[in-house]
Amino acid sequence: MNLRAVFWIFRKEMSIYLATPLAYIIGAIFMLLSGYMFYVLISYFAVNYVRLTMMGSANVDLTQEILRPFFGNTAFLFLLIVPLLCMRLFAEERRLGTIELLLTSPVRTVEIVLGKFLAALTMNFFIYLLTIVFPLSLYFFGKPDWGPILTGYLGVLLMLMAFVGLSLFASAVTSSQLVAAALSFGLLLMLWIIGWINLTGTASAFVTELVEYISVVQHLEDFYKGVVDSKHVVYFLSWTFFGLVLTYFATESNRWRAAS
Amino acid sequence: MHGIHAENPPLYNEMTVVGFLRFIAGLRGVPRRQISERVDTVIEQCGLREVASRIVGRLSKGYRQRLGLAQALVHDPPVLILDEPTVGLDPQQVVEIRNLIRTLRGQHTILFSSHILYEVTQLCDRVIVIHEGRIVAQGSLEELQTGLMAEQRLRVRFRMDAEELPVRMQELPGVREVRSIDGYRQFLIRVEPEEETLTEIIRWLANQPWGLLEARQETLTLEDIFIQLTTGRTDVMHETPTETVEKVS
Repeated sequence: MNLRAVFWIFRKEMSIYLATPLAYIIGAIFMLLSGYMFYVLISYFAVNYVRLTMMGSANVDLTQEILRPFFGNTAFLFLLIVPLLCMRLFAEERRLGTIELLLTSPVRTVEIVLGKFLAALTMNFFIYLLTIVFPLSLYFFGKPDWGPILTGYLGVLLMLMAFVGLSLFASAVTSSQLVAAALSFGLLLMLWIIGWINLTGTASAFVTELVEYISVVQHLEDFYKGVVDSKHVVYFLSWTFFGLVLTYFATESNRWRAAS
Repeated sequence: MHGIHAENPPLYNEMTVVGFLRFIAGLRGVPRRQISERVDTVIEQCGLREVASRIVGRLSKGYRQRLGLAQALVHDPPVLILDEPTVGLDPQQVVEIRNLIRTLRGQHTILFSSHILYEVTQLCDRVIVIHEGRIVAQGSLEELQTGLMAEQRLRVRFRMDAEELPVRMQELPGVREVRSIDGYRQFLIRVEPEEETLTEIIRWLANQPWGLLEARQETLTLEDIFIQLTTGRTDVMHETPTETVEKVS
């Protein structure tokens, strides 16, 4: 594999992200929403803190009470953000025919897929990293524990890899950005809510276990607690790999399809 | 690797002209140190200097066409394939693109496809006519012209009225038909394909009392050749849309 080609694709995608308003608008809306979420959590914590100290249990964990739900809620927003930032990557190239420029160049499909994957991941994770201001602001109130914060971000990074991989595939099978976004949003949302079946208590033991393995939410919890378990890492990497392999084949099939 | 430029070149609308060309150059394996130089060369060659920092999506049709050509040239390909590069441009832009293609002659082998046959006569050294997917003729323009000549045509003009010319010429060997064009001063004479016959006839005409002002041999235009080849007719002159591919080297 030629890393230079990956780099050129990556650079091109980044320059388009930075030259168009979409990423800025998403970043701004995301910050607005996550800021509001943080504010609500802080307020709730403040009330709770007073109540708990009056009841005598003064040992309240700032990190666990605020940051765990905060990570969960902000990560949830990426169910929509990732499809929006990824929908263009292949669909628009197919619609405008620019995919021909890539496919007729001495660049391998793997390099195209990886370049686009890395660009989308960078953009998504960069937007997520903007939230670092919230944990930092906790310094005004107390002493947050840095371990769970770092592992929390690591967890979200791994989640984004899986999401971007799958969304890339959705973009590679259509020439319509909207179809791509709808496909990937549906897919990601399903991965997020698939665990609900277990709340009903009606599923068989096998289904319960399977669903627990597939559900994204289950695998993120440990990271928020400060635990890095290799089984969760493997889980996210598997989805990433799966998504990228599908994207590879979807793109490769373009080479053999006659241009219309 | 070839350079390909088609009628509606696919371009990244969100990038700047320079950014786009750098990307394409990098993608096609131009060494990092030569990228700036190559991009600069094609920007100069294709007359993109004044729009170099503009966003591709805001360029006019003419500039987009030039950018399409620039991206095909940026990695300095030995073979350049141009598919109707002047379609949809205004006359000024068409002339500019043609001149540009002319300057590339000698540096690249250019495969040029067009329906505009005048353009082909202007630009190409070798012509290939493709009809319904098959090559029906190839060669230089002159070769095609002489190869297809089933007869020669002579257009003549006299100073005075020459009413008797058609009758008198009937006796001459090799003359097929004499047709008056405009009164009795201009005529079109159809002659057997041998050149000696034509020389004889011109000599005869010059000696006539009506005062020969002009005698011009009519050559086939590429349009005529094209219609002959694709329809099999030899006398009709109207346009039929079929693909031609021509080659300049």
